[in-house]
Amino acid sequence: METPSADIPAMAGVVGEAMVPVPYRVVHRRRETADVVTLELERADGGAPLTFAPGQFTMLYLPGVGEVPISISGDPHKPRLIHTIRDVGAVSRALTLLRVGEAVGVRGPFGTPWPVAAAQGYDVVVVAGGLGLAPVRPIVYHVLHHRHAYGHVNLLCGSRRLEELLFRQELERWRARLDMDVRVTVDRADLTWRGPVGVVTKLIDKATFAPDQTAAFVCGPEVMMRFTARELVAAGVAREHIYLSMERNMKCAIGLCGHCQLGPIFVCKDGPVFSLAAIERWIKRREI
Amino acid sequence: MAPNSYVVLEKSGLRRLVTALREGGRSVVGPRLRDGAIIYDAIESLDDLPIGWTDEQGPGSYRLRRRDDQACFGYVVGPHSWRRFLHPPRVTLFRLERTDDGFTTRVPVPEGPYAFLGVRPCELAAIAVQDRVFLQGPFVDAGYAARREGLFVVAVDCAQAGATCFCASMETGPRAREGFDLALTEVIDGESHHFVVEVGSEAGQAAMAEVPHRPASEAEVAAAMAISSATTAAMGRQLDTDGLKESLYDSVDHPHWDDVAGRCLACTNCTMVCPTCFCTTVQEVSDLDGRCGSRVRLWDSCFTTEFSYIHGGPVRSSVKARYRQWLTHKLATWIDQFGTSGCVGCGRCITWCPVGIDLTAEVRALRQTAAVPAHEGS
Amino acid sequence: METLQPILAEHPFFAGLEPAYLELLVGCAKNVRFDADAYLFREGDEANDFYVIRHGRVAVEVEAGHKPSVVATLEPGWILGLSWLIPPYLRKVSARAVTLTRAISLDGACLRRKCEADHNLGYELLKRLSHEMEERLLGAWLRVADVYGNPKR
Repeated sequence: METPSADIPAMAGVVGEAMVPVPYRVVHRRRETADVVTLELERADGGAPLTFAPGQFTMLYLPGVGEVPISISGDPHKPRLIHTIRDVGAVSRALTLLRVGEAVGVRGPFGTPWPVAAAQGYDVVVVAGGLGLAPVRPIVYHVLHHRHAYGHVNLLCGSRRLEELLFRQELERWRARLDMDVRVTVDRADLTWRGPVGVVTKLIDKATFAPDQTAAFVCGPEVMMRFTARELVAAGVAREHIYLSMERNMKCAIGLCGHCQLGPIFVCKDGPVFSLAAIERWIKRREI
Repeated sequence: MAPNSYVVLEKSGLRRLVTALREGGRSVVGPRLRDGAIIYDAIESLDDLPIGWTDEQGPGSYRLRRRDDQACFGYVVGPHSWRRFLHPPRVTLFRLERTDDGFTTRVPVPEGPYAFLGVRPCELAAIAVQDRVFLQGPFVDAGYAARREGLFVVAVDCAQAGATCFCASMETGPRAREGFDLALTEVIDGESHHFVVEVGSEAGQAAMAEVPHRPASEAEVAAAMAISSATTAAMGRQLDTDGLKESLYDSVDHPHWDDVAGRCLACTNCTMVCPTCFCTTVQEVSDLDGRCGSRVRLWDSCFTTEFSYIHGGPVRSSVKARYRQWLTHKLATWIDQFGTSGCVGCGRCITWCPVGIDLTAEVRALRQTAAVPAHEGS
Repeated sequence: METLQPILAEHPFFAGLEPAYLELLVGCAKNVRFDADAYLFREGDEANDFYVIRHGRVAVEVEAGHKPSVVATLEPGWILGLSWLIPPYLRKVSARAVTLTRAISLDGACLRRKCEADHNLGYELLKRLSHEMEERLLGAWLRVADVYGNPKR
C-alpha cells in the first residue's frame, strides 16, 4: 500500500491567501441532533467552491467571534461544501445558529486526507464514534462512488444515545444496500432499541474483513480511537493500515502558530490523518 | 563563492553608515538603553547606542554597568531579539468590513525596509532558524518574507561572552559566519577605536562604497579573529548537543521534569525573550456595531493553559508537561521539524527566568540521571 | 447429556478447557430457549443459572423506576450471569431476550458444588470469567466516562 502522501491534493486547493478567509454563505441548514447542525455553503461571489479530499478540514470564521477547524463532511465528488458542526464553544455555537443566507468565512482546505485511493483493493473498516461520523462520511461517499475498487466495506458507528446518532436516514439507506455492512451500537438505550448496546469496539468482531488486506479508518474521541486501534491490531490489521484523525488546538491551520503540535508533528499539516504506526508513540503518553 | 573582503571603519565611518542607511529609505534599528536594559529600537544615529555600557547576566539576573571605555557594542544580548521586527508581536492579518452579502478584507502592507545594526552571531543564527520556519514550509508567511526581503544586516561579533551564553556549544558564534551584509568586530586598543568589517554581500559592498573606509591589514584581521577566539574560550555555559535529540525523545517519563516543574512558574518569560520562538495566537477586534473589524495575530506561549485547549480542557494541564513541551521542542522535535536545533545558545531564557532555571543545567540533569525504564507492554 | 458436550466445547468461553472438566460441567447443563421479549431473569430473582449464549441477543437492563435502561447487549459467544457465584446469589440486574435466543444454562448450585470439590475446575472457570468481566467493566467505564458527551455540558 502506498504512503498517504500520494493522495494529498495540490495546495491549489487552498483558498486565497492562506490567513485571509473567503466569504461564503449558508445555502442550507439542517439540524442533526440537539447540539449538531450541518451547513451547506457556497461562495458569496458565486465562484466554484473549493475542492477537497476526504479527511480535510477548513477553518470556519465568523467576524468578531472567531475561527475554528471543522472537518468537511460532504461528498468530495460533488461541488458543495458541507460541514457538520457541534456546539461545544463560543464559535461553534455561533456557527450552529447561522441561518440560510448568512455569511461565514472559509480558509482551506487543509490537512492530509484519508488514503482512500491507496486503499483500493482492500477490505475497508470504518469505525466512527460520536461526532467522528462526520469526518468519515466523505470516505463512505468516495468508496461507494468506486465500489468495484474495494473489497468488503464495513461501517461501524458508536453513539451515546440513539437520538444523538448522526445521519440516521443515510445510515439506514446505506445499510439497505446489499454491498455494505452498517452496524450501530449505543452506550445506553431504552426498551425500543433492538440493536447492540455497548462500546463500538465490540462491533469489530462482527465486521467482515481479511485482516491482512484491510484498511481501517477510525474517527472519534481520542480514547475511543486508542481502544479501537488496539482491537483492530488484536484482530490482525497492520498498524500501517489503521488510520486515525487527530485533533489539537489550531489557530492558523498552516503549521506556523505552533498550537497543534503533538511531539514533532503538526496536526494541521502533517495530519490530521495519521497511520497508527506513525502516531502511536505520541498518543500513548499523557499530556504530550 | 569568493571569500569575503575585510575593511576597516573608523567610528566616524560607522556613524556615516547609519546615516547612509537612513538616507537610503530604511528604518535603522539598533541597541538602545531603556528601562534598565539594552533593547532594540529605532535609532537615528550612532549616539543612540548604549556607548560605554555593558551588561552582567546570570540566571534570573540582568544588570547594566558602566564600562571603563567607550565601546559601542560592549555588551551581549538583552530581552529583545530581532524577531520583534521580522515577526512582530502584534500584526494585523486583515481588516474586514461587512457587506450585504458577506464581507470584504484588506491586507495591510508589512513594515520596512529595515536595517538592523548590531546583530550578534547567535541572532543571525536565530534569523536563519526562523527563515526555515516561515519561508521553507508548505505555507510561507508573506509578511515575514516581505520584511526579510528588504532587510540589511550589520552584524557585530562579540568581544565578550555573557555569563549565560553558550553559542559555541550550538555552533552559532561568537563569530558571524553568514547571513549578514556587513559584520563588525569592534577593536579598542589604547587610543585606537575602529571596526574591522567583513563584507558579506553585494549590498554590503554597495553600502561601504558610500562610507569612508580602507582595506584591513592582515594584522588587523588577525586581531579581530583573536578577539573572537578569546570570546569562545570565555563562554559562560556549555551544552552537550551530541545525541541530544534522541536523549530527549527518550526522556518523556524522566523524573527530572517533576523537579523543574517544582520551580517553573509558567510565566512565559523564556518564550517571550527567545529569538526563535514563533508561536502565535489570533484575536478578533471589532467595532461596537460589528460592521468593521480586524483579525490580529499576537505572540503566544506554549506555557499557558489555553495554548493546548481542546474539548473542554488543555492537553498539557500540568506545568511539568508544558515545560517538557518547550524544552523538548526547542532542542529535539525542532530538529525533526525544521532540520536544525531551535536553540542558538543566546542564554536569554536563563537570564530572564525569574527563578533562574538554566536549560543547560536541566539538560545535564536529564542526561546524567537515569530515565524511567520503559514499562513492560507500554 | 452427551449431546451438550460438543456444543459446550465449541463455545468460545470454554475454549481450551480439558475434556474432563467439560464433562463435569455438562452434568450441570441444559438447553434453554427464550422467545423475543421474554425475561431470562429479573433484578432480585434468585441467581440460579449461568448462561452461555448460542444464538440471538440478550439485553441487560437496569430497572430504573418506570424507565428501564438497556446498559449492555450480549451476543452469541458471550456469557451472562455472575451472581450465581456470589452470596446471597441474587440477581442485581435484569436480562431480556431481544430476539429469539438459545442458550445453555448451567445450574449455579451444581457449578458451585463441583468447583468447591475441584478447585482446579474452579480456577479454570474463574480465569475465563475474569477475562469476560474485565471486558465488561472496561466497556462500562468507557461509557461512564461519557467520551461522546458534549464537553460544554
